[in-house]
Amino acid sequence: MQNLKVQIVDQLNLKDVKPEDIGDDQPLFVEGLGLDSIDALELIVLLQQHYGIKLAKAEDGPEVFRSVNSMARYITEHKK
Amino acid sequence: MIDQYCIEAFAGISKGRIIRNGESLPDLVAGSFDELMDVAYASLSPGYPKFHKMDSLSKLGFMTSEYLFQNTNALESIDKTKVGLVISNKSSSLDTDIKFQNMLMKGVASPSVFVYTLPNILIGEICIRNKFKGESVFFISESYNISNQVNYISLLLKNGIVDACIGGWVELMKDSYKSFLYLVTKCAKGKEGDFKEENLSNIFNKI
Repeated sequence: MQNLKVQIVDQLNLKDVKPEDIGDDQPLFVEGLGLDSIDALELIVLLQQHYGIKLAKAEDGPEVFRSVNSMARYITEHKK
Repeated sequence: MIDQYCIEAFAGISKGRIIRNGESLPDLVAGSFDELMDVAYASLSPGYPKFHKMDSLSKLGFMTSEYLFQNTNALESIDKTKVGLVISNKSSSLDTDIKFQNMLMKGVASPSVFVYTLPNILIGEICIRNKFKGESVFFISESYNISNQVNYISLLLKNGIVDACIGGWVELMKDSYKSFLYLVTKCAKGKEGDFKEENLSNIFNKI
């Protein structure tokens, strides 16, 4: 989980955020980390680059990228 | 009576230093461009994390605008839909275009890099930050054509398309960079207009 947080901070260039500051269930978008639509695309790239996972259905995005926990769950289920 | 236009403020960044209204800011000196941007951001503490995600050209333009607006209240009474931006440079967004191309050749296409492969994105960043919604344009030319810029901005002002305009030059390519932004509005009563090619040229050459 900590590794994923480090990857998110690196991929999104979140200079004001430390990986340990991100809560496991904290929302990543809007009221949480405040990520935007471009960040969502970067998270898709992160899944492809680090885990070889291609998000098959765009409509799954909001649930997959809801929090670090939901991302970790998706990675565990789909990692090649 | 013919309206007179005045340069209300100006700022520039070049060679590791930041200049505001003719004064070099002594605490804001750095070796590399990245260091200078970090020092400048830390000094202003704008609480704007999106800055860190910008490409170098947008960082340069954005930070120059932050210092431009820092000590002026000239825009307070002006409708944000009547604030325009007319900026130019030589290299367009080529610095980022090359970075993006190199990424593509490695098989990675970063969306956050791709969005900066247009020079006018830096105008967008300044507009988003300050809620400006007026006319904007980005010109590419081999060198800074101040005469054309003065004429263009004067037309916008005289025709009432804008009530205030940010003009200037924001150029960045690899390790070479120079920015100059100024704010021009209708002169206060009794003040003689100084929005002239010669004055801008003198300021630009000192940055």
